[in-house]
Amino acid sequence: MSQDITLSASLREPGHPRRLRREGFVPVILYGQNVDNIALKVDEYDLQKALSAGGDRGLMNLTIKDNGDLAEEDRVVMVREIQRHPVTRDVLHLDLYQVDMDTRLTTEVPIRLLGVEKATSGIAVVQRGLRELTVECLPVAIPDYIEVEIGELELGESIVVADVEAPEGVEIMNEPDDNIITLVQPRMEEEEEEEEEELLIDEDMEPELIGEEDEDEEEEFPEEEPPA
Amino acid sequence: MLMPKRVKYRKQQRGRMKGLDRRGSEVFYGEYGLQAIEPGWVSARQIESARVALTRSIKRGGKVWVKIFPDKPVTTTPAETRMGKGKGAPEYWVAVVRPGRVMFELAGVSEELAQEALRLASHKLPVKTQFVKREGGGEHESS
Repeated sequence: MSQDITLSASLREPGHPRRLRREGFVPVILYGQNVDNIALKVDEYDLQKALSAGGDRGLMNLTIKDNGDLAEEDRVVMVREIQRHPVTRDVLHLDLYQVDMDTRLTTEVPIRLLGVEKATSGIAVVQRGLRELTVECLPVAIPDYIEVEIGELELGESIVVADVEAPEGVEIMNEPDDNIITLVQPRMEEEEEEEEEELLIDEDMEPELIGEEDEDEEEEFPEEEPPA
Repeated sequence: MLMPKRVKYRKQQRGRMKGLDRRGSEVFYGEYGLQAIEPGWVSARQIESARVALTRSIKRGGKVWVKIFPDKPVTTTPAETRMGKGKGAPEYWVAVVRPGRVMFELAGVSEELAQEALRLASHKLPVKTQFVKREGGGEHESS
């Protein structure tokens, strides 16, 4: 995996994230094993550039400016979590994890399908299961993606995790029978019409009340009165 | 039309629709989605109408997910009724939608077709919407 993406950050006082965002920064927290947590801020524009260059699923070099008394060298980090605005999709906050290059780590790697056009050239639709695989490997060995060839697949056939060949030095941690893709027949128009009719039948129905049902049951089986 | 099978109470108060929907705000099942960008009540009839528009416009192939469910009863009083005499009878069911909610998802179709299908579906809905795509892993397909 390429590691040539660089992100520069500067220290910040914890708190006031809205003020930071108004000034064009994104609050970031950096953490890792045997590393103290550091509150940082990065320029929003630089962050967008780094993320779109593949920084959201790979390794990045992080340079911390204005570092004061901390001895500083470039740190190798990876993104652990991105918090986004639900409507605008702007990045609100970022979690960065400082990577130890000699320790194996667990991360998610996207699956890239090959031969989709060939597989769906007949009457077939690709039904996706897993879109990412959980892998364990050394940071330098993290692949950008794992390729899965589906061109030779017949209708009704599936590819599961056990069918995927992991790159060298990478161990796939998902269950072997987890489904990645199935080639299915597309829905026919008749099926849709039947479904529409079913939905129209119950238009005037009113739902059952949970409390009333219990009361009826009680009436059916009245408690026996104790003998006087 | 969609409605709950069992409910605890027949009638509900109206409630407020403050803030954003942070939970259902990502395309989770499909490749493309229709996201609400303003709050509102979407009735079971409107959901059904949008779903039909969606499935008809993609014709064959593709898969549709409806990610909202009308679980709130709305009551109305009959016309020419004098004041008082209590709350009206439940008339229809609505889903409470807040900005950010991905209401419909689509997969197995091209982006142009998905955009057109979701545009047609959006005309059946009482809230402003936007077209959204899946983010992150798994979308990098090539032939």
